[in-house]
Amino acid sequence: MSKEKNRGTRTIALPDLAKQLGINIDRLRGILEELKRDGSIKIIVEKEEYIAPDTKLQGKLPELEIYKTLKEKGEMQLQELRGSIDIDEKDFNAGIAILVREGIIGFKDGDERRVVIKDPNRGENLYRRSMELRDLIISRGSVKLDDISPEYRDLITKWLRRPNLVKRKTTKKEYVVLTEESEKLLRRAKEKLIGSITRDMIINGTWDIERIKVIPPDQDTYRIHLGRRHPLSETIKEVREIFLQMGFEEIKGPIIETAFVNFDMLFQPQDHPARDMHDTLYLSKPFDKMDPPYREFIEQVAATHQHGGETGSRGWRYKWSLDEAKRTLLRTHTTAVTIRGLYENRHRDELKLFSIGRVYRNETIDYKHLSDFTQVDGILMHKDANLRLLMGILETFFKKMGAKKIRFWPTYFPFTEPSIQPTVFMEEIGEWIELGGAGIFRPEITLPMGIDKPVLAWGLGLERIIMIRYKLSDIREIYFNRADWLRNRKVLI
Amino acid sequence: MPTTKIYLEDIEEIIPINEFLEKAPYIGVEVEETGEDYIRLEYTPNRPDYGFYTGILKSLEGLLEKKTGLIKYTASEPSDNQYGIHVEQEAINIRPVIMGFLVEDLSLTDRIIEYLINFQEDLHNGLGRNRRKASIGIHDADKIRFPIYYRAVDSEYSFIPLDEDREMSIKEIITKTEKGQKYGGLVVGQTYTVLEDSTGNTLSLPPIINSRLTQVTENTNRLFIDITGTDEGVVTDIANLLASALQDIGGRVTRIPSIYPEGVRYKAPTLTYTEINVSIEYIHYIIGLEIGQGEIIRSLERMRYRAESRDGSIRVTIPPYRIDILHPIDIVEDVAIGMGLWRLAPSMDKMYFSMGSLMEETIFKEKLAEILVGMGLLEVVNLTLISDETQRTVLGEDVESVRVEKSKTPRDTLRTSLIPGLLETLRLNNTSEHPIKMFEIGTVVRIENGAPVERDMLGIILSDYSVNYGDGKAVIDTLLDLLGIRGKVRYGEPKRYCRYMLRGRAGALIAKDGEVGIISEIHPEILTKMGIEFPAVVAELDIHSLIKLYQDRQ
Repeated sequence: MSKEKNRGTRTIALPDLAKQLGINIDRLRGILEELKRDGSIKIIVEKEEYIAPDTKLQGKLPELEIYKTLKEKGEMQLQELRGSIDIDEKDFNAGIAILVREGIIGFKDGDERRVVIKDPNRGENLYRRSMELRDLIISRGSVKLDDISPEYRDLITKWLRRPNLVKRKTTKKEYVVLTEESEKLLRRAKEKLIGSITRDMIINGTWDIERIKVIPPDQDTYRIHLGRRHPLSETIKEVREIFLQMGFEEIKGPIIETAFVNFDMLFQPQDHPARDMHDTLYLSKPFDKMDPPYREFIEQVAATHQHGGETGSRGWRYKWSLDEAKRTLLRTHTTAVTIRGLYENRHRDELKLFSIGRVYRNETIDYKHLSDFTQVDGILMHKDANLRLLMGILETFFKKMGAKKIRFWPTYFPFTEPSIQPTVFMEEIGEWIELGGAGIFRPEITLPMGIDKPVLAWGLGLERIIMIRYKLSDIREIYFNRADWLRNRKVLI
Repeated sequence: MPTTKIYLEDIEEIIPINEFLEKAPYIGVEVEETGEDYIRLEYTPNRPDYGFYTGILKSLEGLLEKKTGLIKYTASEPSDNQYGIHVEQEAINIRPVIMGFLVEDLSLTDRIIEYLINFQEDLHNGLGRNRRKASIGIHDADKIRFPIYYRAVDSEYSFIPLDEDREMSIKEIITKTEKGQKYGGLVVGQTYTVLEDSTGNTLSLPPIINSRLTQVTENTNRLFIDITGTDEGVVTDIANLLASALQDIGGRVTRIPSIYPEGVRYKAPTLTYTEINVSIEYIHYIIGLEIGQGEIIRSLERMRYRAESRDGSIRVTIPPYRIDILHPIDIVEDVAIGMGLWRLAPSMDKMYFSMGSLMEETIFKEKLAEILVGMGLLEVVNLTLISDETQRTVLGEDVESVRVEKSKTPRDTLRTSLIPGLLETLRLNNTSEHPIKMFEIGTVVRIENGAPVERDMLGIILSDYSVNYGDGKAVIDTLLDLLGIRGKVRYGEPKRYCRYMLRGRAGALIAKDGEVGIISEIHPEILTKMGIEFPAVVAELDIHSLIKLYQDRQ
């Protein structure tokens, strides 16, 4: 829509100009900003008001419905009138009020229950004009206020006051006033406005700061999708770092393990409920039996279980079975790895080992449980190691992991004595929670290996910590690998 | 873990409830549930005496110094020689151990009966290993005419079981009653053991169910308790635990001798007090604190032992219900608990210096991850157990893998490749913004030469509105190049095609010693089967082969 004017100037709407020049509107704005600065063009902003239909305009107008019905019947009981029109109570009352206010209807002889038409001419006039205006607005979608005939002006004003009938929309229309001179400038500027500085410009020296397209400082941008580590790996790295700082050596061990290493070496009696298939995943045939490692050590383990061997213990007092020890399973804890490490390094004077890895339990998978999850285990063997050192290590470890306070409760594990339960205060959730377990390996474990020094041991599952940190209520979320979460989760330092 | 329910009223009689709640964790019990007039406490299985409320209360009374030292439990012999359990040889062949005793002067309330049933159940499940090793029958002794006979019978034998109103044969009991279905299987063969009194009335069918005749009610004040089982040690322990608990509430215990064919074999409960010597030095050494001799003794008395010093050692008398004491180390722990663990200060004074170290493969994997993250790939971590069905869908019916028995979930096999898990991940991300570029570093278990072998793999998946083999190869080429081993590997035809691989869009990475990895587009049929809406290309490389190539790169 262009308005031709005399003396070689013309006025043109911004979108139309952009179309003529074949550039997008944002780029045109950039160019115009430049030219405006030199005063070579002028921009006129016109506000235009439109009337647009709202939700109720499509439906029945209550005053018209009432008028139509009453016109047919002439005179009616208010109650009867209400019953014969299919609109809700509120709209009905509003319709009556309009017609009364317009003087079109009234109550017969002041009887508030009988309604009659008082002024059929005004009624017809309102009916016609309302229908015409309604059709106009609905058919055009929106109508410029200036384009609406004065005949309807009063109706528009009234309709705007009514809820959800029509709405007023204001649009800002920008026009550029162009002279022949400014048109030339514009065409040249279009060619030369710089969106991004290019290599060519720098090499050829054609850059011109004056022609840099303006980018508003708060311009909208797109999201960058980056490569990132998984939160579990980040936590593992953090745990590794703490162990490294305390001077521990990292080791690994097999996932598929014998019951001998996973349980028997740890003095867990063969009929212990944790060894049941209900809790432990055993391999099915043909891998359900495997020769245990450390053949030379088997007899001592058997003796210790049965009667304590030479450890000063009374043992578990049952008949130990090699066949049971040969059962193959998915390791139930990373202590299976550290006990291997301990045995293989039993001749050393001192030892600090840790291992992080997947462990397995026969669990039903739900928001709290997984059948494979990640555990970390650490052991320390030294002639001066004791319970208070274990507490000191745990305190250091958990404080580095973000715990504010720590306390220790007694607990029980078949392979440690004393056993302690670290309970830590996590600020993220404002609660005390039990994390992991710890203790000193029982003499029934260490003495048969020829180790007479205390061996401190502790372990914990990492998923719990991740859940707290990322406020997850479902442990499975960690392994769902939803790209949104992996990409957008906040950095934790 | 087992639990014990205690009514607040019974706690408050002895310890104010707040003090109880504050200190309970320091004897190793934890509040699991708080009801209006009770709390439920979780206890560790090494302390089966905590299955009865007095067990927990006497420990806390000790810790709080309200009552300390050893509790004396006694049992008397029957005045009359008609009291006895006569054991038939045939019954011994079925369930060899039986012990029994009388408890008199009890005033049973509903609460006490509830405690007793809880205790009985915990002992059945824990020490009794679901009644296999031992089971307990509790009877109203006034309904019994001694002596008692422990006999073997066949499955036609009938009596009125507890909670039933008619006579049933054993065959019927084990097929129709809940307890029968649950425990009938513990008896192997066609003959069962029963306890009968001298008038021929049935008392119980161990380990399955008691008879209705001897049911215990509030009006009962004399109990007869039988414990039968396969493990003499466990049956003895349970007799001691029950007898001491019932003495805690005022019961008077009388042993009923078990008369086997050769003569009296058992007189339960033994209520034996054992002694153990623990050196003071050992206590100091393990705890890491020079605790004075007096303090050690007081701590042990709080833990309800008798303790006396003897030449640098402490002689400790262990009550019969402390069946968890195997070794002096168990006494050391109780010194620490008796002192109050809260009084032990953590200390790093004895931490010795050493250099920490990572495994070489950890360092290598971290480097791989760093490069891939730099290429814009997201790291994912999948479960290593996968459903066999998914694995076969992706890899083919002929895939051989390690299976686990009786898994409670469909994830019943160890993954042999990272690809199926990566495809599951891709499906979960159908609605995520593409491109999806991911990698995983993880362990797979393959069967090679008939044995399971654990291998660490690097898996890569790239997916977008359109993507092809070249996109995957670009990532791998770049990675190999950065590792300096691009020249050690050539691309060729894969040795075998898994189901997911697309012919004409697949290649193997071949090094001197054979295949070290594959790259392939995913066959559209597999994408559809897996419910994936975007094309994808994957790669899987053996990390230890890469490490080897890296080490030999010169």
